Amino acid sequence: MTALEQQQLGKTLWAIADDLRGSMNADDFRDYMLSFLFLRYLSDNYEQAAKKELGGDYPVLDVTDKRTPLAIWYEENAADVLEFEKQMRRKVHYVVEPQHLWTSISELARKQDEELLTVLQQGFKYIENESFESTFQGLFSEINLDSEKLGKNYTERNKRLCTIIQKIAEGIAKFSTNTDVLGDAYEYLIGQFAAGSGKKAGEFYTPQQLSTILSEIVTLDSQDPSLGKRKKIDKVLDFACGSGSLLLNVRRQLGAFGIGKIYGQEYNITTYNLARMNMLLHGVKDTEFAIHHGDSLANDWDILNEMNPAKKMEFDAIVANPPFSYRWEPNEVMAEDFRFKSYGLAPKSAADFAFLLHGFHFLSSNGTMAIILPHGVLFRGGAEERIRTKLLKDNNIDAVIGLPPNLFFSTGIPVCILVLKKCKKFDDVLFINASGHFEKGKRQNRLRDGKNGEPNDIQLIIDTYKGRPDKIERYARAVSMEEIAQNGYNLNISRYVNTSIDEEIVDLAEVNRQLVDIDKKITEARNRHNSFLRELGLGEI
Amino acid sequence: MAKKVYDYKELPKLAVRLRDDLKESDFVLLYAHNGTGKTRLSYDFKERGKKGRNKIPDTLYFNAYTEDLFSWDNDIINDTNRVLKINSASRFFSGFQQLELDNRIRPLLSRYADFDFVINYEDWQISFSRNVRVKKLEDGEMRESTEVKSNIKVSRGEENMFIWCVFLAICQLAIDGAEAYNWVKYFYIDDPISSLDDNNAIAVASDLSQLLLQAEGKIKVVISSHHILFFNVVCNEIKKKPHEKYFLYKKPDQSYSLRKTTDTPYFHHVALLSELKQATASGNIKTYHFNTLRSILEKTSSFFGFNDFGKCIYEVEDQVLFERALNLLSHGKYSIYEPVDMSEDNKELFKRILSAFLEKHQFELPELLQDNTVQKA
Repeated sequence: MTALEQQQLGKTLWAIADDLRGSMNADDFRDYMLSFLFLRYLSDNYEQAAKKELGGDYPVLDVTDKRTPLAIWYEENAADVLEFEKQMRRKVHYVVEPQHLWTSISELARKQDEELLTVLQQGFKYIENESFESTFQGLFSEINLDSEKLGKNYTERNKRLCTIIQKIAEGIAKFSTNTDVLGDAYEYLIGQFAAGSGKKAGEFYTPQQLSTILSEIVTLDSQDPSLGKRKKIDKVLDFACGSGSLLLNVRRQLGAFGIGKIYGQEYNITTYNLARMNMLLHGVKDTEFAIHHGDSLANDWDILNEMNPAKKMEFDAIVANPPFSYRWEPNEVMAEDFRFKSYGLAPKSAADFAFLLHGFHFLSSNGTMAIILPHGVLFRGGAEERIRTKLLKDNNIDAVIGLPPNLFFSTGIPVCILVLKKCKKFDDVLFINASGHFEKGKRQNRLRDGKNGEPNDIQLIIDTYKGRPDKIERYARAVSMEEIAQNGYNLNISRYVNTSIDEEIVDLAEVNRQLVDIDKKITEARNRHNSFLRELGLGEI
Repeated sequence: MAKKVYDYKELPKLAVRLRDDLKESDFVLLYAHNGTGKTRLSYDFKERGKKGRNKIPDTLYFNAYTEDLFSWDNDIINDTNRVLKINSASRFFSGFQQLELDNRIRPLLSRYADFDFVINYEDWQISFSRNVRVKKLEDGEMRESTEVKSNIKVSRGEENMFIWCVFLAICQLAIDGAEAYNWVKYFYIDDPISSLDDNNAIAVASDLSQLLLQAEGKIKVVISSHHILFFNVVCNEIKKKPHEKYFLYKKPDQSYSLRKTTDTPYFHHVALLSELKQATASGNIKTYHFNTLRSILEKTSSFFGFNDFGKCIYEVEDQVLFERALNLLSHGKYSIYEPVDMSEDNKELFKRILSAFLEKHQFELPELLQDNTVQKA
């Protein structure tokens, strides 16, 4: 399947979603839509594995037969079911009952069967509680099939679900899907739905282009990025992971075997569920990731609260796009928290530095952290200035990358990427001012990826970070700590890398001479013109 | 009994009094009719702050001037790129960019409105957009989709709402102690939204109160309004905190009177009714009293769900009286600023309508005016 086809599947599904959601809130509809895609993925994957497992015993059905092969096998081999499921758990880590498979459900939808809603509910419950060995409690907890939003009563809800599922089934049927494609479509939809909401304070879906920059940076050799990619990263963390797309992007950089384990934390419960589904959809096994539902600022994840220093969790790579200028309620106890104690608390009005310090605390000594923050963190005064100064004096800030405006859906605030390290080789700070390198869009600007001969803004940032040049005119510069100190530890990018082109020096004497010259010519021309008018006996001008 | 009415020749003196009050109280609430001079008072209050030792303003205010910080550029030539421009020179916007205000405005705005906005920090302008559902015929099937209409012009009311949300976001920052707004010692809020319907009035008032309660001990607050419902909601929300409540009115000689209403619950219409009763008792009935009575009748009838205010006095008096009243009360030209005595037979009619109304509906009339007369006597 080509990239074009992948995109088309995403678009087809989005058109279905946009059509069917009607007056329903985009966020609400998203959860139904994505859960169904997830069910479809689990089913497909499961059926393929079952086919392999059963080999010749896997029933072959007539084209007109709408039952699922597995249902027939279950009927005919009731005694072996237990053993089969045990084997499947070992192979694919989960079990789906034949009646809950996507093919069965979509067949119910096609027939407008009254039982669809009930069966679907049972299916979700089964997957949550019994399918997986490691727990997936509450995976569909926010998917309320009995919601008034779907319809007034059971019949109406059932009817609506039938339509939705049938349309999705038809939409997907036009494409030859493998799991990767479905995963990409899933992510595409998350992005599309994000564009339709964005009403929550400071939470924004990270554009894929930014994800790529962050994940490229954290997967480079931490000591000397010019050495290129690391072979393996033991643990990667995103402490505000949203639907998990940044984590998956890091995984994409290093391949399926390049990462020991993926860790994510997310505060919003629906998004947290989407993240877990997203991981599975991209073929990350349930043992290869841990996503925690909780509040990073309060640090309520047990594994990050280990008091024994020998057991402290540390990560080789940390990425994050935390909510911008999030309002939080720090208290005195918080000031004593091990993450903030030696830096001070971020102000109530903006938790940006609190997020940064949270992540930074868990960075390993040879790890790299890349975080997207609003520009304000570079120059705001008060407590933020003190935190920034300490980080700089400790030589923890490796690079500051200024990005173009309007890269996010529905916010125009300028953002930057900060790259942090616990131990770093260079004692200067690399500034990259990429604010002028982008393609202007109607609602949103875009970093270009070099396709069809256009410049590659993304690669330019990564290459500059990798090569760490002393200076690229109007783009980047490695700035010494002395100079930063002279600037009062203000990191405002334009102080160090100015993108404006110097104004031409005007020679006033020369301009004056030219003006006098022009005046002379005007007089000459007028006199000549008037002489003609005089000859013609007309009035002069 | 403590003195309840204070007279002032001019507004700056009144502003000083409010500042004095705020030494003891956290809130001062001011009720006044339109045209009393509320906006000028808020301006005087702010100017007073600059007269301190440091000559630095100490008041973040919201009034008619605030709205003037925003102006429309309707792109008359192309008629496509309509934007709201911000006057970036104002201190009001000192933290606009570095504190990423749009993230703080958006959650507030979504409570009251369905449009979205983008702030262009480079050009200091704001553009608005709205999602609309459109139906299109595609492959023989009717399909719906969502489209974003960009650079739209929003209605006057929506614009007010947006500006109000900007103000609220800034208040929150000032309360939280953000550096850019650490000069703010007072909030002065004059009539938040000029054209509020009742639902919004309640929502705005209670949201505002919740926010202002967090200001306790940090920032002192003056709120003035002519909107009864709004005023009452705020009163109820903050009544447990140290506060002063006043009814401000302008006297015929152009001086001002500030009446404390702390001891009695404040109900505007009953206060007006007792004023009318007072007028009929003294025989000093002016033409504008008809307008006052009519507005009370309108409110009463809308409260009871009548489709006509005449029904408030219907059934108690004869048809002729009703029609006559309707006719007379419909006049809009009686000005409160140029009081004219009512003609004798109209006075008689006025008295009959008022007493008929008061007989049919048993109002609990406050004794505010009696205090007033005692003071005057």
